[in-house]
Amino acid sequence: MENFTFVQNVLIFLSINAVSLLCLNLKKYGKYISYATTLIAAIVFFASLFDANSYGISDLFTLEGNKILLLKIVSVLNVFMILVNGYYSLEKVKNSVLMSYMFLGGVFLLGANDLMTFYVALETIALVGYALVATSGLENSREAAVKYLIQGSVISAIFLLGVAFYLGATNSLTLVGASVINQEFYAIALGIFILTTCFKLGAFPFHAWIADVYSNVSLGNLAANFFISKIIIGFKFITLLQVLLLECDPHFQDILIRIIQVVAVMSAFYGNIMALVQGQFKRIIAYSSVAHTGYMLMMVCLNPDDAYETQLICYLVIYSLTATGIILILNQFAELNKNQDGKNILKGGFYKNKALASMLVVFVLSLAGIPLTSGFAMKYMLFTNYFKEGFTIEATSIFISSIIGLAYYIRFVSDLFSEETNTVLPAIKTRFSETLVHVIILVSIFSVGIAPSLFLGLK
Amino acid sequence: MDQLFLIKFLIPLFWAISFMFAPKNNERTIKLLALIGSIVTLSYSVKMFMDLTDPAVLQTLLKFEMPLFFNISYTFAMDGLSGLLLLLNAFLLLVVVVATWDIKTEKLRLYYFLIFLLTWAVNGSLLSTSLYGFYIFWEVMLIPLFILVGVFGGENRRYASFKFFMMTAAGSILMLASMCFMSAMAYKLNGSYDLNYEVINSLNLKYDGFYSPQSLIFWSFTIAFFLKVPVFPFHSWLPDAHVEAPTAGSIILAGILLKLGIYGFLRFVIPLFPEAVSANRDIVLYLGATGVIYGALTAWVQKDIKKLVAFSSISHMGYIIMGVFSQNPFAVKGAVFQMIAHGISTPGLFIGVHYLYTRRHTKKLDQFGGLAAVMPRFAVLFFIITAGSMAVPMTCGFVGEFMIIMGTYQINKVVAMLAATGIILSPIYLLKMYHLTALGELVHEENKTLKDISFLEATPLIILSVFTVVLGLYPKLVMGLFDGTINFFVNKGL
Amino acid sequence: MYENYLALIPLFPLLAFLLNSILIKNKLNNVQAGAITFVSLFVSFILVIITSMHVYNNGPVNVKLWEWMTYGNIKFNIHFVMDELSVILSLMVTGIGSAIAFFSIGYMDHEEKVGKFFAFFALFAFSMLLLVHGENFLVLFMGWEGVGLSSYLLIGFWYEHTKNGNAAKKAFIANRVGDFGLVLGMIGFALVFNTISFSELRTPDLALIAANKEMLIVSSLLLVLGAAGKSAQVPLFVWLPDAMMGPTPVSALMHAATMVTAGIFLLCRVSNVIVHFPVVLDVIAWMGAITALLASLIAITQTDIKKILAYSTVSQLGYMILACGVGAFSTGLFHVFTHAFFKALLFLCAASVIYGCHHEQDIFKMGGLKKKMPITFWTFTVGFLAIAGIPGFSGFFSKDEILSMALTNPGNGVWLYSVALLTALLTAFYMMRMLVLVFIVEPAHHEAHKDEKGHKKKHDKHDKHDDHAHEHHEVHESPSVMTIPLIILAFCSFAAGYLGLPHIMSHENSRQFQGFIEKFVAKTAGHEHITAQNEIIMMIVTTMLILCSMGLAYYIYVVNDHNKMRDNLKSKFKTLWSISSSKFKIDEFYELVIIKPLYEIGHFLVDVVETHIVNGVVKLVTRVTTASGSFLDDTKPERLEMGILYIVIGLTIIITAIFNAFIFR
Repeated sequence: MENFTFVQNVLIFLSINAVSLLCLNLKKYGKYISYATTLIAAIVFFASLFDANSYGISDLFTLEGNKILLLKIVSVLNVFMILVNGYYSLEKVKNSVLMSYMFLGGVFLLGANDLMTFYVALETIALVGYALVATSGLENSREAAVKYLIQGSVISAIFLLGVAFYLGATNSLTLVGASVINQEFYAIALGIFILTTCFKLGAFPFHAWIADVYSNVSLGNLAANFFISKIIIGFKFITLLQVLLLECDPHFQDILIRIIQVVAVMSAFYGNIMALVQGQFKRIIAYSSVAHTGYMLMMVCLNPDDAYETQLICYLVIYSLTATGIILILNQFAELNKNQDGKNILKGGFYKNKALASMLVVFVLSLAGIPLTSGFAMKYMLFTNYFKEGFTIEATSIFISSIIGLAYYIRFVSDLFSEETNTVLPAIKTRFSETLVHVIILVSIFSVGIAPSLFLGLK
Repeated sequence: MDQLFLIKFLIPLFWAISFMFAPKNNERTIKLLALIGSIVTLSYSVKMFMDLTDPAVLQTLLKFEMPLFFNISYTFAMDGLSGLLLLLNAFLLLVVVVATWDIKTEKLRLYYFLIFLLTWAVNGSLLSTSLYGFYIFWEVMLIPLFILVGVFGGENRRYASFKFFMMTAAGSILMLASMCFMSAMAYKLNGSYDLNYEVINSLNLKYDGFYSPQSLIFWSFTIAFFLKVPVFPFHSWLPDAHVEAPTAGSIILAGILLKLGIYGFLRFVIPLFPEAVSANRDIVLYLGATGVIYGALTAWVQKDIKKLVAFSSISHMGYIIMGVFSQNPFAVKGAVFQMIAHGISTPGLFIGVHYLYTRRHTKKLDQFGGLAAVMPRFAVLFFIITAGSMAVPMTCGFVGEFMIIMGTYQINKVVAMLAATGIILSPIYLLKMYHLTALGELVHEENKTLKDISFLEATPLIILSVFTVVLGLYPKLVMGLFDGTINFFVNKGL
Repeated sequence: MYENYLALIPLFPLLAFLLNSILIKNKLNNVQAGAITFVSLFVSFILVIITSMHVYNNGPVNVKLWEWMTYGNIKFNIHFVMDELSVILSLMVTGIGSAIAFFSIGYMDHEEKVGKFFAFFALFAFSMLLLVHGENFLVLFMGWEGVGLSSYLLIGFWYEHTKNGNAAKKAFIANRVGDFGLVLGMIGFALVFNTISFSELRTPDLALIAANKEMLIVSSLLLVLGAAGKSAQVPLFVWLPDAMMGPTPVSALMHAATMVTAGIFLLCRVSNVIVHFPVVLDVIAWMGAITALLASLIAITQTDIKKILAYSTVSQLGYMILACGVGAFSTGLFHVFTHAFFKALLFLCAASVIYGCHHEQDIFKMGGLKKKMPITFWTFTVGFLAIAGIPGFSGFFSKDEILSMALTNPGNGVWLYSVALLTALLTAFYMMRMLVLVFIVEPAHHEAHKDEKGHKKKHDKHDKHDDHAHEHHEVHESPSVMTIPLIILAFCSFAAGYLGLPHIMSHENSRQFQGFIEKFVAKTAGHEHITAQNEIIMMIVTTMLILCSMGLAYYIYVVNDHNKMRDNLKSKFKTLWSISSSKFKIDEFYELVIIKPLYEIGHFLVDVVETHIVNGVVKLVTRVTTASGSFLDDTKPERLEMGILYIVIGLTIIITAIFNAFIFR
């Protein structure tokens, strides 16, 4: 019965989005109608998530526990994204519709229990992702999109190889309870999965796409990238790898874990150091996300545990929210001085736009992990786990890398408050939707920062 | 438990926020608001101190538990030591507001916002006894000061503020790492991540050699606090920060922020890692003594008054760190007293420099001289403050230094003698400063027309001078407040 | 009741200080300002007399005001005492103090900032009384630094002149060097005896002394350093001559009569301990002897009237320290007592001369004042006879006793004696020289030397005095407000000696003073008693020699006209002369050996250590990080290839790692 309702919901969601897609072609009120329909679809789907706490379609697809929680959060964020995009331009409405499909892909990825569903969902997300980059409408967007596409397709080819190895290792494509026959194949398969994870999350050696995608994508699409691909892919991959690693032969397990540790520490250092020397703030955020991936990747090495999953969700969501908030505000500042190269768009920003600037300060400090913001609580949580599991050296070195991180985060602040600005910035006028998002992010940052249990208690 | 505690505690924060909504260009109102705010803060700090029944033991004021978040809890508690520093903090807030009453800036609201935020953060880290809470406020403190220096500072403010922030924050991240480590251990031990005395004691971290956990944790804490205090080789941010900072920044920095490092030692390091402390005692003692001499000699050759005072406070901090680590109750009390004394004399000096700067817009020593002729009131008050900083008996500076030297003499005679050379060196640089500013003949034309400090300007200096003399003659006035606390620490294995 | 008196004694000067410094704004005139201080001092003088009567009959008086601090059993209290020792100095401080305060009313009448002067004067009296009445090291040290501070303030009284400021700074820092010793010594004593109270150190526990010998010796030597700082002994005596920049009455009170004797006072306080350590005593003795000789050698060739007196003070202090060194603490204190009167007297006479000659201080520009200032002349003569040690005058008794004590000191007695005797002769010589040049010889006689000494002209005082000093050289006797104290002091410096007659003069009441003191301080032990006739012979010989050296001086400077002989001598012993007149180049020596190197070290620390090490490390870290960042920076056009390359490399690494694992499993 439940199964049926869920399929129902998905179908409704699909159909409404199809309608909105069609409506885009209408001459006059097209964009308004499709915007409205997309929004309705998103809200309806969110509402529909509350009628049961576990879904399943045969054994290909099951959703329960933390996954439902994550789904709820993501669908809320989906609504936000649509709100942020707004109905002002046809492009943005298009993006909203595309995002809905990305979201759908995310839903299936989250629930996927066998590699086929997994792969399809992954590709759906990826394709929409390329499209979103391409349609961002900044000058280098298309180039970035093509590069992203090529690299992405290489990765998906390699992933298929991994799938093949997995099949060879277990005689099946199912991800739960598969009995491992050939440890060697299994190890290789896992190695390739790890590589894929690193690419999708943009960990150190596979981060090449991240910088120019971030700097050439418009805000809404970047938010989509964060909210869906980063949160869902990150969650799914990490939890999956945790499970799969258990099956692995301890000898290989050791190797794989070492690989992950190396990647994590390296991307922490690399991301921070690179962000330090960047001029543009968007790039800084991009590289800082490399570093944050490094912090996060270590989670793979932990044993699967319900508490860890919750914490991982918390970390991912908070991180994405903060980063999005920063990029939103950065865009607003960037719009003011188009002529500049984005190096000093923030110079003296505080004195004209106090509210925006103060919010930016808070968001940035949260990324930097300064206390009373959620960033600190999350960092504390994550690293305490690592210490608990005995990864003392790794955790300490990542900590040290985060010292470098402070240097460029504080640059935001000192730029905002510095006076040597050549052009007097006019005040920025903020749309209601943007303000709404700002406030929500701010509240979440402080509430989680001061009393993290609020968030962790959601479930 | 104190029902109204949260409100009392949040007053400075609320006040800080209220400046956001203060009328934009009505200077007088804003300043009055600040004055009232500081008076309120002072009065409730006094009230809280009065409510303290027994200064010897920590009294829990508020405990906010978060079972889902690793059952970490914010614990706010207070004893004589933290109460005393709380008073000093509130007092200095008032002093700052009065001393910089004549400040001219269009960013007045930001200025007071930052100052009150700073005060609030300091209160927070003074009152919270769970490491988590302490660390939170410890870090929060950095941001307002960073902005204060970065916005209202001098020529080179960007560099100075960066240096200050990065060095202190780097230290505190080391501390955070060992905190995480400890709370992980605590979880393994008794399923809770919360870090308070009992838990950390129950960890009984073993000490053997440098690489044993206790020693590593000890050093990460110690370096974090060294960078804050700052102790001799870690001080490179202090002179820059002081020179570039606005007077308010300098006063709060020298007056209370540096003390928080010492407070951290007293509150956490010394009770919690006794073996590591006694093993590394002599290293730290020698560092302290070196700091005393180093600070004095470097202060002597400075050309800039503020830099001179900054280095002098490095010298004073050398004494304090010696006292704290000497493991001798008398010296520790001396160190605490010296904290108060330094919190009275050095802000006084900075205020004096501020008055000179507002009149002549330079801090170079060779630009002054013979001011006693044109500014007698200033000269007299400035001399009393200088004497206090010079540790002349019957001023507060002497008490602390004497106790520290005496206490250390019992532990390690060489160190005590080295430190005692400060008695000879301190007048060398302080009198140099005073002679080049106040005495001698009026050579510079523009100095001949300077007007003496007004009564309002004189007020903070008068208050500070009165404290200087009274505390020197009757130290019990303050000593009684934290005597019990230190004995308490002594029993904890100091 | 006496307790209250005792508590009140320091209070009055304090009140005067506060009163003067508060009223300084609303212009109370000079006389009023002076009157406040004088009255306060006089009142406490009376109180001192009353209390000391009580003490004389039935023992010390104690008053404990409040508790300053406690350390285990060591109680740091604000605790006053009036015992045998403090009676003497207390009388001197308040008595001579009030006399000099009275004098200053006249001397300072045409100054500005007189209120300030009298405020500091009162502050000094207050701290000195603190020092004298302190029952324990703490209060003594408070007073000790207090007098240092007030002397600093008074030396730098005319702060407009950088020279005075530097002199003041020098004095303060030299004293601080002493304080370094005093603090550490006090701590050492406190830790050994577990008390800082003098009344308990009066009868120290011999077992303790035996137990911690080394520690006590070190601590005592540190205390001696303290004494050397305050009492201007070698090596720290350099500050005292410069201290003459201050107003002359101040020099009379602080830098001659009272403050500088604090060192001897300190040694007497701890005498009962240090007598157990011969090595310490020898150090003290030789320190005193060398100081005495050195200072008197320098004094011979000085031309500034105050400088001469300053150096004579230093050498007299050397005498007192020498006395302490040979274990005759009471005798030392006796000399303190007598010296206080005649040296104060001499200084005040000098002051009145300077006042009369409109702030001329070069003795070669004075002369023939005998007729112009008769009272000053006669009182000065009394002082002169006293200091020279002519029988019958106070100086004679104390000095003679010191000499005999030095001679009978076991071990190095003869050497000490000969040094002391030589010093005595030199003293007589330069005092005579001063007397004749200032009062007796007519200016005409040494007009010639005006230009030669022209550059030594002192401009320390207000310019206005200088110029009206030039326009009319009408020298006049000082007003009676100044002469009355002179006469009083002259009487005292004649009579004071009779309190401590030697045995041979009166058997029944000999050495009353010393006897009284020795209730507190250590008895003079280990001296074999010399027979009466030996002592008489010694006295006569000494007196003869002294008279001879006076005669010599008289001959050189008066009898042969135009000082041919003097010039001959000067040219003959050119080097000696220049050494002496350049004060043995000791200031320059310290400048070169201590101050400059320290300053250079400071520069080194700032320029090298601070910039290249302390900051260097920080800079290095920053540089390395940013440099590696810009080195790794891959934000370049060919990002795509890089990306794919990375992926392939990553894949290969992972696969090889796993294959590797296959092989080595």
